[in-house]
Amino acid sequence: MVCVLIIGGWIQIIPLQAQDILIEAESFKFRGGWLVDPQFIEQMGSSYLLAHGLGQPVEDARTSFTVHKNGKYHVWARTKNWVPGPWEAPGKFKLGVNELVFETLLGTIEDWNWQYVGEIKLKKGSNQLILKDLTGFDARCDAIFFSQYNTPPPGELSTLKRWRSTVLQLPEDPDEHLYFDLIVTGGGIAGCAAAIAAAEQGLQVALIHDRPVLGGNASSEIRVHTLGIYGHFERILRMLDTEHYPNGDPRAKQEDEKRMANIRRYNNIHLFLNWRAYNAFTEKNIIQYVDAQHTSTGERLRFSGPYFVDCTGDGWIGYWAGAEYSYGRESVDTYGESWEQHGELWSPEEPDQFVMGSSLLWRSYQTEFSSIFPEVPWALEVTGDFAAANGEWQWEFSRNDLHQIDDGEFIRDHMLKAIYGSFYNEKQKPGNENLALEWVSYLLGKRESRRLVGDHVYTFNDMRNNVKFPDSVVVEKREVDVHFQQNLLNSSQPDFLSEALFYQVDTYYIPYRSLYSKNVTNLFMAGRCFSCSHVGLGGPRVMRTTGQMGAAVGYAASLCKKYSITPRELYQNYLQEYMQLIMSSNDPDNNP
Amino acid sequence: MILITIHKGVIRKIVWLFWLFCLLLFCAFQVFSPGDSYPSHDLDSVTVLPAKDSVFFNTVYFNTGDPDSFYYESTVRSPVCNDTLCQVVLLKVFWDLRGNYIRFDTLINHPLTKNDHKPFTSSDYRKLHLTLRDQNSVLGRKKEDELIDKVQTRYSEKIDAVTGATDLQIKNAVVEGALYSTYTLWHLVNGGIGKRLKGYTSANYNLDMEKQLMRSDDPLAIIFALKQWAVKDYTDRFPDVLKIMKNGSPMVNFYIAKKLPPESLASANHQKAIQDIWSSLDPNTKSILVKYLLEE
Repeated sequence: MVCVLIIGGWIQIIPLQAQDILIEAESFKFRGGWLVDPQFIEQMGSSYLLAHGLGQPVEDARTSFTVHKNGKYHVWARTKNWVPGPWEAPGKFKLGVNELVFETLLGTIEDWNWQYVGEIKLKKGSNQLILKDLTGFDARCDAIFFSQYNTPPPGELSTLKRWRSTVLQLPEDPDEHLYFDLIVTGGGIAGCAAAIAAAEQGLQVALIHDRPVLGGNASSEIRVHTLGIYGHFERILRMLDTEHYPNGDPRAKQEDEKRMANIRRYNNIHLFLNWRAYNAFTEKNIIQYVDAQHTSTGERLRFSGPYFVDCTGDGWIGYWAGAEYSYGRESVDTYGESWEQHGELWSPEEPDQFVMGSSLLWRSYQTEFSSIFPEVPWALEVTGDFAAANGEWQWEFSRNDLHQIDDGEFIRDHMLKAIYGSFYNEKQKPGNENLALEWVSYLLGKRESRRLVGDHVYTFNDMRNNVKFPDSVVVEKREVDVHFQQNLLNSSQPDFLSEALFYQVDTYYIPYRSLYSKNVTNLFMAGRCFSCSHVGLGGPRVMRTTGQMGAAVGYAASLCKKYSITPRELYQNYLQEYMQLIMSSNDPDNNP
Repeated sequence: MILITIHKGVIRKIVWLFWLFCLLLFCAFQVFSPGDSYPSHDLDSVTVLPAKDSVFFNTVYFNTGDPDSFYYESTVRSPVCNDTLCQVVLLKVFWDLRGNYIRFDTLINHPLTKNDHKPFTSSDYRKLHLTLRDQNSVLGRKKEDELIDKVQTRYSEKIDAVTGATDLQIKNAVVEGALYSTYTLWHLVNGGIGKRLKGYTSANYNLDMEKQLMRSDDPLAIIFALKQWAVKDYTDRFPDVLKIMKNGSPMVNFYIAKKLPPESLASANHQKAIQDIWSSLDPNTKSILVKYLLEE
């Protein structure tokens, strides 16, 4: 058997045999202390396992695999050295097969690729595979490949994707097709609110989320507290929001439980946790279906229905469906969003890509015993002598040349270096012998990336002029705050710290027309990917506000279904009924 | 009970009228006091800065005495009131060419005092200066009636700028014991006056002003000067551009990189000049310039 791949006009033939074995790391039966990281599938091709041990090696991951033919096998692991440089790679690990642990140090090659592990004799039948973390500093392994040929799998991403499908014998389309009245992708506060509002109106709702817990940035995995007001949707949002504890607080776990219990009360919300959407197919500007893949098992499902909601934050559904979107900071004249006092920091004369950045929150604590934190020379390049014991919202990274989606892994890793380096410096101070890292998020808490374009683009002027719309479905009072990197004004500051500019406003309103796509007929959006300008996002990007958007969209979907109309037609022909439904959200009758 | 209530109400009104009368007397005294010396040298009257509730109208002057050092100044009088007391503060305030607060001077026999009438200490003056200099201060986004309850009753939380102001932020921003003085002065020197002074500078802009702005350590001052340039200036004055970029902050260089027209980098000399300073440039600036260099 051969795999024929056409690359740039050349035909590459990669021999495949029945005895070739590809094992996806994320599908290990026992993952030990390794974590599944699906954040960067679109950039590097797969979920992977991450040894996020905060400097302490994590427990081994183990699985078994079946060999069909006795013989010698070459072994590769797909991995990367996440901090290449004149130091030992921080995230090293070894691979064990049955009793043998290969001596090869893995995680030591630049960029994602196949690192040769060694050669081994395997017997037909069941064999054991072990990933042994050596450092606790975020070693990563995507897959392991066994072959009797000494030819590594392809490294180039698109070729690898096709090769992977062939080796794993994946069908072109998902085998299982599911149909729902409404398909919500993204289980942050906006997605959960959309699902609840629609479900309460009787719709069968699919809620697809790529994490094991709901809440997105508010979840215990990222731990940002929810801000903003409840608007017309207090009853729904109280099921989902958080207390105003400090960012990074472990009480986020209790809020996870509350949120999950409330969502599970709805029999017509069909929850797909650990499923990540990877495609949206559109015909004549109408989304026909969204495909999703399980982040560990690789199983695939197709979700069809008349209406879709993009609550992914990054606007993925819209992006795949061909929806118009924007990214970056518009020029100050595009929408007339100047604020004299802060000029270029607020809205630049010339457009750029310097959006608000992403954060990793983290905490340390005083233990009963003294401990040593390993040396991290690879991190000090980022931090210098900057020292810190905790990280709040200011731990944020953005650069004009970094795309918050395409360069997400680089941004996350830069923040990890910032955290480890700063903590190391803090630990060297007298009196900090007992200080230890308690928790460091490995999931990016993003503020801004793609913004899908709707019939109305929400801007700073809508906020500062307190514009009331006939379709004002979201109401907010929070300041408009836009962030910039501190080192812009002071080059001696580390590049991973930001500052906020606040513009005080009175009550402002977001119209329903900012919550559905301009050109994809059956697509709603709620959350930070709603239709707005860069500065227009500054106020409503917090999670009670995005939750309001979600609830508004859920109600809209119910009326769209009732009359078999598009989201735009709802605004044009049924606005009065829609607004009545919005205003009655808190009525006890709406509470099933 | 009703009679007593009415009686109390009348008494309260009388007390308030009395305080108002005292305030007016005090204001009159302040206006005509010896501390109020009108400037007499190289000063152009620019605008009037009304103080709280338009009790005072303070003239702002543009100091043209030294072409290397233009600035705006005003002897500012403003009433400062808390729930029970009013007093008048008197300060000389200076702003730069962009209308940003620079510093203040106290006037002889007019020290600032706190709520308990104790005079400011030197560290209080320092604190006030730092707060007035912070254009992004939490005081700028708080209404006066939002100050006292939050400071007094809510437990302090860690700073949370996503939320906006927390109580701890307000406490940290103001001079202890002089909440309303700090608040009133911040809004006086950082309010709409800045925009008006900036407008005056733009309307009277000259090369001496540019020189002064370009010498500033404040990147926003340099950008203000650059905003007066025409597009072709970036080509015609390329040596100046280069000089700014060599010394400039990341923000200034990022601004320049976006403004540079492609023709300004068309020549081999200019290309080389940029390449010579390449290693000193920040990633944001490089991300823009690299396109022009590659095109070459």
